[in-house]
Amino acid sequence: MESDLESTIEQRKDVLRRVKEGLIVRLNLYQIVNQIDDDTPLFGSGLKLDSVDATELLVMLDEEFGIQVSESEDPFYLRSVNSLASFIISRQTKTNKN
Amino acid sequence: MLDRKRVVITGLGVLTSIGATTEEFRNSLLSKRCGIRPSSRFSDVFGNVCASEVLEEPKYEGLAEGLQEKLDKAALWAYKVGRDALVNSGLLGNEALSTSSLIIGVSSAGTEAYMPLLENRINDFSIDKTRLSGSFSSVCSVVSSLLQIRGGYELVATACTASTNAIGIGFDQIQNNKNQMALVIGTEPLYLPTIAGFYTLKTLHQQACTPFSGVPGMSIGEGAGALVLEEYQHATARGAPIYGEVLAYATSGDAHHETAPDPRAKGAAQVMRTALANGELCPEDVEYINVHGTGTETNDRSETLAMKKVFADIHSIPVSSTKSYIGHNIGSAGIIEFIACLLTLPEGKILPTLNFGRARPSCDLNYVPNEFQERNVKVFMKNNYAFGGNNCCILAALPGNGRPNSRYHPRRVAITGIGLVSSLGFGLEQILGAIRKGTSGSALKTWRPSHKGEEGIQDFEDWISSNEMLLQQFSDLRKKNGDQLSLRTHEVDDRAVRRHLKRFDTRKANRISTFALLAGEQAIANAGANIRTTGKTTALIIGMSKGPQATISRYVESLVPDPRRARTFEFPSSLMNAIGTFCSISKGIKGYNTTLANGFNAALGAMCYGYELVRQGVQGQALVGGADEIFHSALHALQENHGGLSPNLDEDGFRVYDRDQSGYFMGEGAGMAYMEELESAGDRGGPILGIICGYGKSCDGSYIDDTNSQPSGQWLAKAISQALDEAGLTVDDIDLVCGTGWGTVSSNRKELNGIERAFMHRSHPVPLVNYNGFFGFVESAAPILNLALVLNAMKEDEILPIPHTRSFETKNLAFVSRKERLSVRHALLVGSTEGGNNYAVVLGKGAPYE
Amino acid sequence: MTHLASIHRYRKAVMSERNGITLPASFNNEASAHGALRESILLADYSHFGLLEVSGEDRFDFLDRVVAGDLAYIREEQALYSLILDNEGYIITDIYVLCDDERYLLLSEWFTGKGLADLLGHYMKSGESVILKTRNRENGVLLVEGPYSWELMAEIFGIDVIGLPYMEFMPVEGGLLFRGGKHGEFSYKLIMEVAVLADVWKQLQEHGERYDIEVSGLDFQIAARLENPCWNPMILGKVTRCPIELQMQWAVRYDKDEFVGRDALKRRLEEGVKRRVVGFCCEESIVDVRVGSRVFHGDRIIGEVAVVGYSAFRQAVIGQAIIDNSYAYAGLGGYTIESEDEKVAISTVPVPFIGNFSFLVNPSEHSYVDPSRPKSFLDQVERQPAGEEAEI
Repeated sequence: MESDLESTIEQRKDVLRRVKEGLIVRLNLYQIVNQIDDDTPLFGSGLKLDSVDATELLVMLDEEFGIQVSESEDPFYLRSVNSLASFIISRQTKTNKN
Repeated sequence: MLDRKRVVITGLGVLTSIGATTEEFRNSLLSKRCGIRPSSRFSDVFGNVCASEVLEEPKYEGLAEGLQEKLDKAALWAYKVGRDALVNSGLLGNEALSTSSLIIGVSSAGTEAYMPLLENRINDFSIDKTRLSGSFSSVCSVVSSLLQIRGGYELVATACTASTNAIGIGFDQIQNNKNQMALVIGTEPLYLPTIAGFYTLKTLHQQACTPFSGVPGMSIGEGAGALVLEEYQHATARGAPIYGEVLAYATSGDAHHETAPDPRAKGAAQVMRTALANGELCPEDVEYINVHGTGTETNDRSETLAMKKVFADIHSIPVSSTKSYIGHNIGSAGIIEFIACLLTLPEGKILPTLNFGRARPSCDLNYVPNEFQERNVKVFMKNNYAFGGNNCCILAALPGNGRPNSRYHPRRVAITGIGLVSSLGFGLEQILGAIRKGTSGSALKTWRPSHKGEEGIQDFEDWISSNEMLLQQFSDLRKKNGDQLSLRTHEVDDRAVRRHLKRFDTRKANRISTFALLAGEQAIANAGANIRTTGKTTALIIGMSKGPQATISRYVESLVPDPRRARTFEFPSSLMNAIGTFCSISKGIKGYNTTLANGFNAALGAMCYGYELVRQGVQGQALVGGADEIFHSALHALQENHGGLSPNLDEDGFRVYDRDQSGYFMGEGAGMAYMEELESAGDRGGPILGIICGYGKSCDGSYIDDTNSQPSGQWLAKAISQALDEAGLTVDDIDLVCGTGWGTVSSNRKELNGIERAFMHRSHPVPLVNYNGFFGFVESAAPILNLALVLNAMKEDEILPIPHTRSFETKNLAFVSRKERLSVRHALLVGSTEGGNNYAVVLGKGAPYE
Repeated sequence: MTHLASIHRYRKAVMSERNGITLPASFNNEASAHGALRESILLADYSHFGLLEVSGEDRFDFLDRVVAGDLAYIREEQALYSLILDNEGYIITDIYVLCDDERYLLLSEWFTGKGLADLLGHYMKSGESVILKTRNRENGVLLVEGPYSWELMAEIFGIDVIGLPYMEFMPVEGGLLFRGGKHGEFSYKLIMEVAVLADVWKQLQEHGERYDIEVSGLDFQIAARLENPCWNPMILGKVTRCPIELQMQWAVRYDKDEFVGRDALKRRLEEGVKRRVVGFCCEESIVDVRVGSRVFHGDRIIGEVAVVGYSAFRQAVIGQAIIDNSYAYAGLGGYTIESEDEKVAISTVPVPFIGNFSFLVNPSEHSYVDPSRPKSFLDQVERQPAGEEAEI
């Protein structure tokens, strides 16, 4: 595997793990990390989170990743663990570029 | 048929950001003054946050020198408005207060004494303050003592409906002819944990809230209010001022979600319909509705929908939100808003909703935007809704528009199901088996000062050594047990509890809630009841002592170092009403839903309230009880040490009524009883475990100055007489008394003196039991655990002895010290709270169900 | 032949068979049906859904043992989406479990009621008090789905539909109204008595006109499920039936004491799977990629295409591939897929592929037909935090 891809994957794995661990601790999930798939939906039938949990997710983004989300943000980043990870990575990349 | 008594309002007291007297408050309302501004106390933490704050310390007339420093604001404010209301009514110091009841609504109590620890102001920490104001119910103990109100108190802890529900319970105490008067108070000083919770939930409005219009969001506020409720004839006979009349009330549970209102607004609609039915009113009688109107998207939307569902002609009824003046005062919101109505409606004016901009979609009623509307209102409605789906509605009339007495057919109330969760097992059968085998449910535990484990112990040491008073406080405990803090406790295997439960959201459940749920499920199953068909008319009344301690601790810890990152997950579930609403959500119980956080033996208060609801036919059934969890923390250690843990760590070291030993072991678990109308229970072939024949309540009123005196038990004796009177029985009819004291010297003496005094004229000493030694002291649920064994004794004609005790106090009482064959037709269950409230309940023998 | 079937015939439906039941596959309006699903309302005959009633004293214990999800999560008027696994922990079918007073109602689009009964009967212990009763004879199912389906439902069945939470149902005249779907939009299933089915259909069509409702056959699912993938034994299920490889562990409740396939599945999770299904998006819009095409990283074969097609919503060729575990992550570029001419560059993406419009619609605030209300959050100046109304 070329190192570029490798480091992108490592970065993503790291973010996914931190997101999953954060979800487990903060939202009292019974699962362990490898029981939560990357494409797991956060709401609905997936992890069955609700609107109150969504506010806890915002606190997590702030505390764990230093990301503040404005209310006008497109809500789709909260769709699944994976979309949340993509959102975090894109924000981190943006910050690094600045 | 019995007449209900008419209940009028004869005194008012209030404390808000826009008025510390009723006069000032009225003037501010009439001049549309908004008290919501940038917060002076919380802006440095949360940036530009707004609140309605009481910034000027009010005067506390009549308070003894030096006492103010030892009391928290919740108690001081309650005292202030309570006293004002009594003065206003001409009742301060009146002899009649000794038979009046005190009902206080509060959401967050007993907080202030511990805030210095949280905010790292260790030197401000005061042991005296934790003693007098450190428990959830201390506000009741303090106020009853200062104002000498001795007819018994209740602390209503249903979050944002607390004081509204308190008005309802005060009303009940009079309409059922039990008391002539009740002082009802709502008190809610704003502390960091509350504002941090709403902040992180992102519900706070940037400026003053604009209910039903503009940008959604609520404004937080603080304040207190008080009402004197009085029986109509009693009031007119003494020429009391009359501000209005309470016509009816109701509560309900959404059984939907721990913070969000049911978007279908079913519970909110149901509570209005039930209140109307209780008052024999129809929707057309209501001419104004003072709404909950927090300003949040979800509240305003579902509240509007609820009113549309109930009132066919809703567009002709003005509805407005007082929260646009003073924000959301949480536990005291309802009573202050109710007082606002009583102060302004007689002027022929309807309070506008201030700050009204463009109405939001789906908010299309007459919200009385910005300007007063002229109208002579005769009857109005006051609604409040709370986290967890607690709903409360009150109907009231302005002076001169009262209604004739309504009537009811008193029902006989049977206990048809009992559910128990304890260290000895789940359910009566398991527990009896364990008792027969001599199993001990207790174990020695090493004190884990906090959830941090080993490193927590060091924190604990540092914490104690940092404060002289703390060091002193703990020196006893540490000497006794060596350096290691070890205790004997009765704990419950919560994994086993979860295995027994079938329907609940494990993610939202904490230990205490699962205990309550399992006990509740057992009680329902034991009764053979079908909650699915009766859920809407089943009340759920929970007594609480320390409540969800682990959750509270976790939430409070999340406030450090940055309160803006408070855990929203724990915020709602750290409230006292979270256990009751969790059970309501899990089981779909949608009837009356109330949490009474009276402290020790709180389940007795729940029993009495549930009994009244069924007796008057307001509810078909009631599930009542309490639940407790042990949480090993330094704070808890401190609290328990006030109470007096047993220094004897042997298995039999908790010896109730022992002459030579004082103190208890902590216990945890839950107890729930299912009650229903006797006839309908018989019709459906339900098991009649026992019958409730009557109850009595009183309060010592000596909390403040009682530290050294010998408790005479005279007020407990009064509660017993009241219970016997109501049951139409004499002391000779009682075959067995069951106490629920916790084995400290003061608890023993008070309980024994009280019982001895009440049974003074009995032909021979009354047999007495107390089973707390089996379970450890399960603070709120103890009465139900005892009740189960008493009902079993009545069924089996065999009485189990008081466990462990070796040498009983010398009393003219027949302590049951070995198993006895005895036929019990009537038993008496008595108990007190640590704050001096007393209960007595007369039980009749049930019919064994074949 | 039901009355409804003659309506379909009259509309010149192309009929086909699912679960042995004949019903419309297409009305030759796939493009507009897809548009309606994503922008207004789509109506379809879902009578192929198997319906099985499970009653009796031991119904909870029995079902909880068979279904992989947590039955304890739901109470009356609530529903659960979950899976039934075989003993080896592979998916047999997905299933909705509706909890009613005295019974559970099971819905599956891949089995008839009879088929479900046979499947479940297999797991019944002797002496267990469970009664299985197929309901397909008495009931039919209609699908009403799309960002404004709630509004039509409320118009016909009353205001309570507005507040009906996801995965809950309510009684309506002639049957049940159940909210829950698989394509990321507001979705309602009407489980109705056969006798009223045709009338309800006509009523929906009539009232639906001003919502630009489109009647569709089952073929609409091809495009819908490309964008919002879900369990499908005929497509993805042909490649793998393993919940871990399919990233569907969320439909399983591991901490239950027992359910069919639990131990095998847990073992497989501990051992670790070798490949997983991952979403991809082609960087060019016209490509010749097929199911079975190999996926490369450089010259190394890392997987193969399981589903592929053109998404009108994304205006791109998208699909899912089953990829070696160490490569199976979203958010990566640099992989290619073989095609007729040359290798096609792809990037891996989170699933689902699209941001469904329903997420921007709030039943309490918006309207398709009322000009005084905004149509969606996009029309509003003040944006609201979302999340609450999310559906999978």
